[in-house]
Amino acid sequence: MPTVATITPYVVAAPACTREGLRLSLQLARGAARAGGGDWQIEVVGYGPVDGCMTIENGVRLRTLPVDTPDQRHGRALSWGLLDALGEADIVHVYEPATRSGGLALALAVMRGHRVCVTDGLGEPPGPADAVEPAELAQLAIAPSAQAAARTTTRRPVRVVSAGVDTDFFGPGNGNRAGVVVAGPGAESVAEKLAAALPDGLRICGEPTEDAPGSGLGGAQCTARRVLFQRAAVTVHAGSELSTPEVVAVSLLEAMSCGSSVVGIPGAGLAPYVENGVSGFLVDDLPGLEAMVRRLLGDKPLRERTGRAARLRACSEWDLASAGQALLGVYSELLA
Amino acid sequence: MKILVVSNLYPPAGLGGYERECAELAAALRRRGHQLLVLTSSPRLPINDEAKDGADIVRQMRVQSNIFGATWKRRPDPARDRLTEGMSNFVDAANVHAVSDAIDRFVPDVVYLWNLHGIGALGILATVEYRGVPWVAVICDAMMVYACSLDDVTVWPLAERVSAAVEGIWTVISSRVVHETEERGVKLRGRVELVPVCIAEPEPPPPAPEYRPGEELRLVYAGVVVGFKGVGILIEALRLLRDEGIDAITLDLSGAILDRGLIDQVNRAHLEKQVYFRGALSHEASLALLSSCHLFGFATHEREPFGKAPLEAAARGCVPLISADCGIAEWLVDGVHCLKAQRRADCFADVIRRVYSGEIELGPIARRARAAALQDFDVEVIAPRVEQILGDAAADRDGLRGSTPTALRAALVAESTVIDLIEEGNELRRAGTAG
Repeated sequence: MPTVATITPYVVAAPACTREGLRLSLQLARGAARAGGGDWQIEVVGYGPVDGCMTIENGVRLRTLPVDTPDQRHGRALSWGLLDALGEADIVHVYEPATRSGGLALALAVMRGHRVCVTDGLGEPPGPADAVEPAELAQLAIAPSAQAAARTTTRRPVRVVSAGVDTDFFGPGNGNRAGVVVAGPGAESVAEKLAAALPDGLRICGEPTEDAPGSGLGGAQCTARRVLFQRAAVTVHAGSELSTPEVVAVSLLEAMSCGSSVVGIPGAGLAPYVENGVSGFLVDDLPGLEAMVRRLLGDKPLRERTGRAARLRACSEWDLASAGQALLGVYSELLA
Repeated sequence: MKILVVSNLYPPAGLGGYERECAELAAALRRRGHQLLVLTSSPRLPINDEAKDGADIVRQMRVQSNIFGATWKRRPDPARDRLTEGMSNFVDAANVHAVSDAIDRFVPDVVYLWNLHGIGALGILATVEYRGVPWVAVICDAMMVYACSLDDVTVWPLAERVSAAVEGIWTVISSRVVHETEERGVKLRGRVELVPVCIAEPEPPPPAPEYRPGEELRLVYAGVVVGFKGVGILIEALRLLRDEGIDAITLDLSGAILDRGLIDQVNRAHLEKQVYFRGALSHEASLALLSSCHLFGFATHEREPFGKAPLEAAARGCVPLISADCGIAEWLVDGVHCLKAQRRADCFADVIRRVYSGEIELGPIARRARAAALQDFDVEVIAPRVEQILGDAAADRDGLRGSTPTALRAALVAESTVIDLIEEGNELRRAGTAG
């Protein structure tokens, strides 16, 4: 049975994984494991307060390594358990190789003779080895979108594996929809600005900012996120200086799959995912965002029409099975 | 066989037995028909008319740490020194490049790893493994412990992981050095072979004069003149004997004086007419000095892995008087090939007194010591064993893997991560919160 160690630089905070990049890696791992029909074992590795391992589903485990460095931030955390996590994996897939965490994982994997691929450019700040271009150590780079592939600077071959969403799990649901959910990295700062205009029914789903740890609904687990998106009349997708469209897309696709009407804020770069006016809305600025949200809240038919279109688009273009199949193809290429 | 020798230092650059031993075995292996390339560090001083002895020597690596302290003139700076130590102990990307490049150019059947202290031992070991070349490592000191240490303390989690990850063939010069390595956290996994230090004596050297009780008894010591080698114990032993009225005993000290307090000790004890500091003599002059003395005083510390100079003394019939529990004591029998004493001045004084009085008859011991050294420890006797071990390793060779650019890039990533981690620790220390 081929094994994959997916090494991410993310710190997994209890009780759930908050970093969108980690969710992206987990989603793709689940897709690949399903596409492999039980023949593949994928272990997604992050950092946490304690050593731990949990089964996500058949063929997919999430392992947390205890952080052994004073600096415990995403991308900076390191653990003595890293070598053990690499183990005898046939393939090592390193996320964010330019970070301190990712760079060391990549160097160790290469020197130990693993087959190695990387996924870069998800927004974590570069680490001390950035100038050395650690990603060049990999045999292949995996970009989460064609746009990301165009942005990548590596001279290694690049394969595109788009983000996927579990459209069976993230279904529309049957309940009534009300209120607004703000999701994605930087959700809180956007929510704060919207709060004055929309005092009622504002919910936040995203990672708490460093300035306001523990606030909002950061870290909500899959089931909780599904409930939020199924009940949201409108879902606003935030971005931040750290986010890239591919990372934002994880939450976006979940909301679309749940049939929520979505609005993308300026700078979030969601154009590849949302057909403006059909499967959601893209606005230019915060006043435009406020206006669009007000409009949607007052126009149920418009919400329902764009929500249905969003669901259809998620199912047809970003289904997890397709993403998983694509990732498995890259892994198989590495093993060949 | 094509043998790539990697050593932090190599004669004429060097400080002691480790690098001389390396050079003598390299020369012997060449004489046995093998092709050698020696990769070592650039010398601290220019080397004129280097006698390559048939082996190609590439002096391309760098030694950054202050482990060879005497020439290290910088002002102490703990934070900076910790950075330097991290690179010199763990990984030095420039040296990784040098090793991998040498593998590309020379395509060795086996890599013969000597003292890697100060040149980024872990990076070099990882590189040789990554390139797929079998290796044999010579453990003449706690080298693997230093490779897993910072601030002279074993980084225990690192030692555990290195122990688990590194497996190969180790030749060790005494069981003592294995015990020390393991006690300090590093397990030598794989095959461990006990191979003693050797001496290179193309012709039997002239024997030292036989001692006749009542004559002046001449003691000698050769090596770095420093406290942990037991020089102070020898001086104190002479003072005790002198205070008893036995003053027809001299001590010649050959070697760089790294501890000037020993000069004070001699002056304080008024032993100026019995103890002579000869300075750093050439190897030839030092050997000549051994040939003129009766006893080689070696009151070295317990963790002394071996000691090449006592063996060279033995080959001249200059009887080693050694600490009872140091490395070479495993190889020589008390009263047969050497004399042993507990590492205390009164114990060494007691043995010297018994020799001086004739209670211990030195002549037979000197003859047996000379015979054993020349027969059992000669490089031409040891080299075939080493050749066999290297050959066993080379039999597992399966072609080169990887590439130098990749090895260098990985090493640069590792090196910059090490620097970043140490700087993180330094910042915490400055803030007073380091654990």
